[in-house]
Amino acid sequence: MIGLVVIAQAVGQAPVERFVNALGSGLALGAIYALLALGFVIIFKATQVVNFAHGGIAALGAYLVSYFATVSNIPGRWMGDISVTLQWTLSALVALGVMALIGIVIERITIRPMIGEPLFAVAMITLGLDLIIRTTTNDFMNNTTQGLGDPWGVKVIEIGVLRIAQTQVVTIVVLLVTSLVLAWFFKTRTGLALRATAFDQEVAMAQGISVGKVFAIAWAIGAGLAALGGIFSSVAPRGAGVDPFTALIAFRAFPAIIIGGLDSIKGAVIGGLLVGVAEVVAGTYLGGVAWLGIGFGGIVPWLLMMIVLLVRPYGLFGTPEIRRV
Amino acid sequence: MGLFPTTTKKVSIALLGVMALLLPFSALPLFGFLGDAGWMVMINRALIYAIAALGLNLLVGVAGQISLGHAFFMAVGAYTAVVLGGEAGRTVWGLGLPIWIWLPAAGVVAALVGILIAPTAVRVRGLYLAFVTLGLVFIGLFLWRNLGKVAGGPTTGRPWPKLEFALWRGMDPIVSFATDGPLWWWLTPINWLPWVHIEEMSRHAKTYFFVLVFVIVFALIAKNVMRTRVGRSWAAIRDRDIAAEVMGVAEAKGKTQAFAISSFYAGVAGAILASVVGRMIPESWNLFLSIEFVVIILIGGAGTIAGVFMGTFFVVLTPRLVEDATHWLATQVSEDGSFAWLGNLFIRSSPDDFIGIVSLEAAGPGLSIYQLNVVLFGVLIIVFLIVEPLGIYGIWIKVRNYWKGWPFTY
Amino acid sequence: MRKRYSWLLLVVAMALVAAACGNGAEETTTTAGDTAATTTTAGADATTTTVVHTDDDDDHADDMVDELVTGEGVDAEAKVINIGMLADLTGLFAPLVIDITDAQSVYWDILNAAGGIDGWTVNLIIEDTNYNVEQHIEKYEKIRSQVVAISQSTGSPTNVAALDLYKEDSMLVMPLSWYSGWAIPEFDDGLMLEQNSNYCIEAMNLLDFIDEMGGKTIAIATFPGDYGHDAAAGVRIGIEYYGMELVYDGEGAVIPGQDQTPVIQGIVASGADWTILTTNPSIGAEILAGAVQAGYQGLFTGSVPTYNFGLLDSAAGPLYSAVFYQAAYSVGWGVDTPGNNEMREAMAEAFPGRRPSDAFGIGWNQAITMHEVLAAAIANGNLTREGVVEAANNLTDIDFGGSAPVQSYAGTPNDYVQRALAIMKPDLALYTAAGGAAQTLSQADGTTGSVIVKDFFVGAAAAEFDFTEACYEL
Repeated sequence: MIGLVVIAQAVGQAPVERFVNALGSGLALGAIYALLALGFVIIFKATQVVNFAHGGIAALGAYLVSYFATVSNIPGRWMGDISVTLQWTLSALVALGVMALIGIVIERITIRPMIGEPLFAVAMITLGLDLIIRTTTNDFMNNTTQGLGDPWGVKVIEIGVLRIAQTQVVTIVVLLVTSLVLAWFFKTRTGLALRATAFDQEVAMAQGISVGKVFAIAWAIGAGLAALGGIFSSVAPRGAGVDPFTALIAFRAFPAIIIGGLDSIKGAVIGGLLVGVAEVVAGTYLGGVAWLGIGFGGIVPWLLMMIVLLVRPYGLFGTPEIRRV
Repeated sequence: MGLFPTTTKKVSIALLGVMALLLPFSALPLFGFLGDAGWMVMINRALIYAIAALGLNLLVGVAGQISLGHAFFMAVGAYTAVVLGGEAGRTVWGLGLPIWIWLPAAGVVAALVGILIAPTAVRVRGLYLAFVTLGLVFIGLFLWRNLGKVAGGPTTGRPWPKLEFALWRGMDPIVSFATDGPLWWWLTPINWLPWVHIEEMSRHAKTYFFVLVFVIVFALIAKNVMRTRVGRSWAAIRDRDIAAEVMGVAEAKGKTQAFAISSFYAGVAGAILASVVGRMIPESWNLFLSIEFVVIILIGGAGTIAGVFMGTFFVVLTPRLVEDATHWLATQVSEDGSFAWLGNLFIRSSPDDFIGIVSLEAAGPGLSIYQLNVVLFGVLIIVFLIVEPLGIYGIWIKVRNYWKGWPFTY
Repeated sequence: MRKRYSWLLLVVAMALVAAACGNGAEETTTTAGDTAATTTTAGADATTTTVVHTDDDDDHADDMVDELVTGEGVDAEAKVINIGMLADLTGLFAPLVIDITDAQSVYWDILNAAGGIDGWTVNLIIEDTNYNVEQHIEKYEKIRSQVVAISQSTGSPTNVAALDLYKEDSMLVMPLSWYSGWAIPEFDDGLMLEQNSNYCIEAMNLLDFIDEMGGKTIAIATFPGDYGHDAAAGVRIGIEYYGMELVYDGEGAVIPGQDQTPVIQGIVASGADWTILTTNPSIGAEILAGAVQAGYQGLFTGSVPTYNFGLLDSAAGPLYSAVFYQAAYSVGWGVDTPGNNEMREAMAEAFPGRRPSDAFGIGWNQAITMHEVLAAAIANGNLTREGVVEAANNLTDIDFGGSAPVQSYAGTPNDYVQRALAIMKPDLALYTAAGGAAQTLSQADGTTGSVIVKDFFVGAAAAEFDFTEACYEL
C-alpha cells in the first residue's frame, strides 16, 4: 500500500510523458546491453569461452573510433568532400574492422592453445587479457575522456511527448540492423558451421568444418559487437566519451546475458532490452522511494536475473544442459 | 592413508614449518627481506587470502560449484565482526564484544547466510551459478551502501576491532596482536635463539603468527574434510551429479554443506582481513575481490591444498615482485648501470629514444612503469595458464615427477 | 599506434630474472636528485643562516657543529631528504593524479638542480596505490621508514584508513582530497596538511556566486561518501544563509556505474535555477547532458573534481561551454599569473610534447607548500618527522604567485581554514582556437579553455562560518 501511494506521488503531473520517456531511454540502454550481450553470447556459443575481457575490448573499440574520427581522420582524409555523418560512420566501420582483427589475434594467441582445457582456466586467461587491454587502452587515451566526435552530439528528437536523443535512436536502429544481419548470417554456410561447432566441436570437425576458422570468426564478430556496445555507451547521453570507466559497462550487461540464456542469440537481444527497460523504469519510479535505499535501480537487473533463474534455470532461451549419468 | 603419507612429505612439511616460524624475524637465509614491514603486510594479506581461498577451493575445486560470490560472504563475516566487536558510534552500531565472540560469529553468520542462499544456488548449475553468485556481490554492495549503521559511510567505512584478546568488553587485552612489543609478557625474559627476538616483535610479526595458526588449522580441516564422507560426496557431485544421486549421495544436501563450510571460511577471513587493514569501505567487497579468489584457485590448481597456497602467494606477491623488477631496471637505465642495456630494450629514457614501449615518467609516451606492472601481471597469468592449464600445482607435479625418475627421465 | 607488445613476453622472462637479482635486503629508491647533490654545496653555503653545514670533506665532518637534528627519512651524510608520494597511478583517479605527480617531480628536479633547499637534495619516492585501501596501506608500510613526509597521498578512504599509521609515525601527509575534516587537529593530530578550500566551504562560495547571479532555486546531485556529503552540507548551510530553496535533493544519489536516469529526471522535474554537481567528470557529463537533453533550462556548477577540461573535446563540450561554471582551487593552465607562468615554463621544458592540464597546477602548488615546510624545518634546526610537522603547523602566508590563494596553517582551524575560491568558465571557442586536444605544453598560447569569471573571493556565508568541526563526520 505504502509503495503504491509513493509511486502515485512520484509520477506527479504527467504520468504518460514520464513513462514514455523512461521506456525510450530504457530501450536505448537495453540496446547497448543487447549489443554487448550478443558479442558475449556468440563467443561463448562458438568457443565455450566466458569472456571477461569484453569490457576492455568494448573500451578499446570506442577508443579506436575516437582515434580514427577525431585524431587521424581515417578514412575521411582520402575521401575528399563527404558529409560529417558519412565520414564518422566510415571511421567507425574502420574501427570495427580493426577490432575484428584484434579479436582474431586474441583468439589465435591466447585462446587457441587452450582448446580442450577447463572452461574456467580459459576464463582466467581472458581476465589476464582484460588487465592488459584495459591498461594499454587507458594509456592510449591518456587516461582522460576522449570524445568520439559523433555527428549527433547532444541533439534530440521530439515525437509527441517522447524526447529522445538522436544517438539513442541510432543505437536502437543499429541493434535492429545487427540482429537482422546476424539472423541472416546464421543461415549462411559459415553461420551454419558456427552453429554446428557450437553444437558439438568433434562432430563438426568430422563434417569437415574447420573449427579453428569458426573460432576466429566468432571472436571477430564478438569483438566487433563489443566495440559497438562500447561506442554507444561512450556517446551522449550515456557518457561524454570513452574513458577508463567505459570498460565497466560490460558488468552491467551480465544480467542481460543470463536472463536471455548464455547461448541464445535471441535471448541476448530480448534479455538486453528487458534489463535496460527494467533498470530505467525501476530507477524512475523507485529511485525516490526512501525506504528502498539509494541506487535500488542498479540492482533491479540482478534481482530480475535471480527471479528468472529460479523459474528457468537456463535463462529464458538458454539450452538446458543434457545431464547424463 | 595418513595426512602426510611419505617421509619426503613429512620432512618437507617440517622444513616449511621451520621456515614459516623464522620468516618474520628476518632470520631466513637469503629471504631475510621478507621480515621487512612492507613485505610482512603483504605476506599477512596472502595468509588471510589463503584462508578464504581454502574455503573457495572446497566449493569450487572439490564440490565443483563455481562461485563468484566469495567477496559477499567475506563482507558478511566482516560486518558481523564489526557489529559485535566494534565500538558503537553516533552513526554506527557496535557491541564492543571481545574477539573470541566476534571471530567465530563472523564465520557462523556467514555460514548461515550461505545456507540461506543454497536453495537458490542448488537450482542453477555451472556458469549460471557463477553469475547468480556474482549477483550476490552486487546486491551486497547495494546493502552495504545503504546499511550505514553496519557498514559506516559509503567510501569511508568504519574502523574494525583490533586483533586483541580480552576476556570481556571494556577489559584490558591479555594478548594484543595489533601493537608492537613482546608477544606475551611472560615470554619476555627468555631469549630463545640469538637471532630470534621474540621479546620485541613487530605487530606484523604477531599478526603473522595469529593468522598462521588459523591457516594451519583451516588447512588441516580442509584436508580432512576432503577425505571424509562429506568431502567424497562433494567430489562425486562434482564429477557426475546424477551418478552421485543414483549412488545415494544427496545432491542438494551436499551442495548446501559445501556452501555453508566455504562461507564459514570466507566469513572468518573477511573478519580478519578487515581487522588487520583496520578500516574497510563498503566498496571494497566488490567483484574484483571475488575474481581474485577464483584466479587464486585456478592459477594454483583447483582441488588441492598446496595449489591454494601457491596460487595465493602468486596472486598477492607477484605484483610486488614485478614492481621491484621493473623498478630495478628503471634505476639501471637512469643510472647507466651494468644492466642498462637490458632496460634500454624496452624503456624509453629520452624523447629521442624511439625504441621502447615504456617511459620512466608517470605519463608521457608509452606505458608508464606503473601501467607496465599491471600489464605484466596480466601477461604472467596468461603465460602460466597456457604453459600449464592445471596451474602452478601442475607445474610442481611435473617437476616432481621429473626428479622422481632422475636420471632416468624421458 | 604503438603495438610492440610482443616484447612483453621477453620482458616477463627478464622481469623474473631481475626479480631474483633485485630483491636484496635493501630497497632501491628513486634517485632523481642524487647527482645534483654533489654539485650544489657552494650555492647552499651562501644562503645558509641558522644551520652550519658540514663540509664535503669527511675528515672534518665530526668537528663541524651541525645544529640540525635529523631522523628517519633523512640522510644527513649525503644531505638527502626523502619524501614519499602515495599516488593513484593506475586506478580510477589516475587521469588527475598522473599529472599532479609529474608536476611535483618536475618541481623537485628543478629545485635540486638549483641547489636544493639549503643544499639539501629532495628525493621523491613514488608508489602506486591504485586507489585501493589495502594497497595504500601496504605501500605506506613499504616506504614508512624511508621518508620524512608524504607530499601527496591520493584519496579520502585511503587516508582515513591509514591515519592511525600516520599518527604512529607522526608523518606529515598532504592529502589529495579536500574533505573538511583534514583541517581539524582533533581528527588528524595536525598531520594532514590540507591545501585549498574544502568541499564544504567551496559549496558555500558556489552559492555566494549563484546568489550574485540571481539564482533562487537549487538542485544538488552528489556521490555518496565524504566527498558528496561534505559538499552537500556546505550547500545546505549556504542555502539557509542566502535564503534560497533546495528543490531537488540528490545527496548521495549518484552511484557510479549505475544508470543516472532517476537523478536526471529529478533535476529536470525540479526546474531549479542552478544545479550543483559533486561527482567525477564522466558521470557529471552524463547527468548534465542528459538533463539538458530532457529539456532542463537551468545552469550548472560543481565541486572542483566534477570538471575536467577534457570534456570540451566531447559531444558535451558545447553544453559545458554554455551552461557550466567551474569552481577552481587554483587557476587553469592558460591563466596568466606569475606563479602559473613559472610553472608553465618549467613543465613546457620538461614535457614539451605533452598536453596541457589543469592538474599540473595542483601538484606544483603542493610541492611549493612542501618546499616551504621543509625549508622551515631546516631553519628551525629540526628535520625529524616531529620537526617537520611542527614546522608545517606554524607556517603562514604561503604564496603561490597568484595561482592559488595564500595559505596558512597556524592557529585554530577557524583561523587558517582556506575560504577562498575562484569561479571559472569553460570557453570552447578559446580552447578550439588554441588547438584543442592537439595542443602541447610548448605552445605559448596554450589553454585548457578555462577563463576566470570571478577571481579568488570569500563569500559572505563562508566568511561568517565558524569552522570548528568537519561538516560531515566520518
